[in-house]
Amino acid sequence: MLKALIVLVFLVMVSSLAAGAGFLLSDDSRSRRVLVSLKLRVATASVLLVLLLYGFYFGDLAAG
Amino acid sequence: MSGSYYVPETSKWPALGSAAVGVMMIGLGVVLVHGVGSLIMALGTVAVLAVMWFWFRDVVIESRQGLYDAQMDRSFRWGMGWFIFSEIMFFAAFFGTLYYVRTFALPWLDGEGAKGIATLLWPDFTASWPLMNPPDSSISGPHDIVSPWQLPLVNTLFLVTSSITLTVSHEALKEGLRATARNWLIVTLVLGACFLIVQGVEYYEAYTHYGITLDAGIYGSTFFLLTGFHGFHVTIGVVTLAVMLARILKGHFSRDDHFAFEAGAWYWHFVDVVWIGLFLFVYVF
Repeated sequence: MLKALIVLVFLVMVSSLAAGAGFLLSDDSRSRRVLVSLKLRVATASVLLVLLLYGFYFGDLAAG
Repeated sequence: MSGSYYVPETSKWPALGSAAVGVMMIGLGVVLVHGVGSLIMALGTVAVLAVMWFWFRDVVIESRQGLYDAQMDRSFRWGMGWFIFSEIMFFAAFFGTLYYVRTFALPWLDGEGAKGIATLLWPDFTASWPLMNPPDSSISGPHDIVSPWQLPLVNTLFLVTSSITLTVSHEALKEGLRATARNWLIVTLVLGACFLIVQGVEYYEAYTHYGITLDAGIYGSTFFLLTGFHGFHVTIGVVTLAVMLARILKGHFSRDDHFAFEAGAWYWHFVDVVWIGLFLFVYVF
């Protein structure tokens, strides 16, 4: 369950990064869409980090 | 400049850049085959860096002179697009290697799957990951692995935090708060440098205490290929953001014109995502 959640959040994070790349190509510098997608990217990275720490603390994620 | 297209004058940098890369690669080839020629490789590397410096300097000067219009802006954006594509392919190859080895090659050598007949090569071989006992006795595997919950976790915290501070800097630049953008960009650079230092410590530990080397079988080679090339990309990102900092200090960029900063920021986020992928698939899973 935890691993599935980690994979899901990872995919959302990659998607927001990909969206940022798309906006970087299509918009000009006045647009805020690159910044907004990168904000989502760091937010999901933070959630992912919390999930990893939770998994480590409670022993759900074994090393290696 | 509206409706126009800026055609730069003939540039010597593409030809000089190609020559410099050629010298560098010839030097590398001679070093790998004959063990000598490091001076040629070093000269080529310096020449490549010099060409990059002068080429980018010319572009910045032309941009500051207001020579670029909307069409030129699109050209830069598509240039960044192809760079992004090449970077994705680059890391996809290495992640693909790791996936192939773990999912296909090792089970085959252990007698499983469609090519399980490969077990005839080393009948006593037992597949595992990390591969501590390579099948051929001439190769000794690592005797320990790096725990993800020590230095790699510290580095993950450094990189994710650096992405947050960079996003604050990015927002500040969008709002015209140059001093705030500068300060948070400095914090980002410090965190990036911390990452590289910790990775250096981790490599030292891996080599001297865990027996994880480039010669320690497929685990050692994939470990250093993936993390090493990522570290190289972090270095590129630090240099890029340092140039952005220098440009902010010189008064470049405005709320409506800062593509270089935005592209550099996206690149840093990309490097962070690659690291999180490495943390998951090289260290944890």
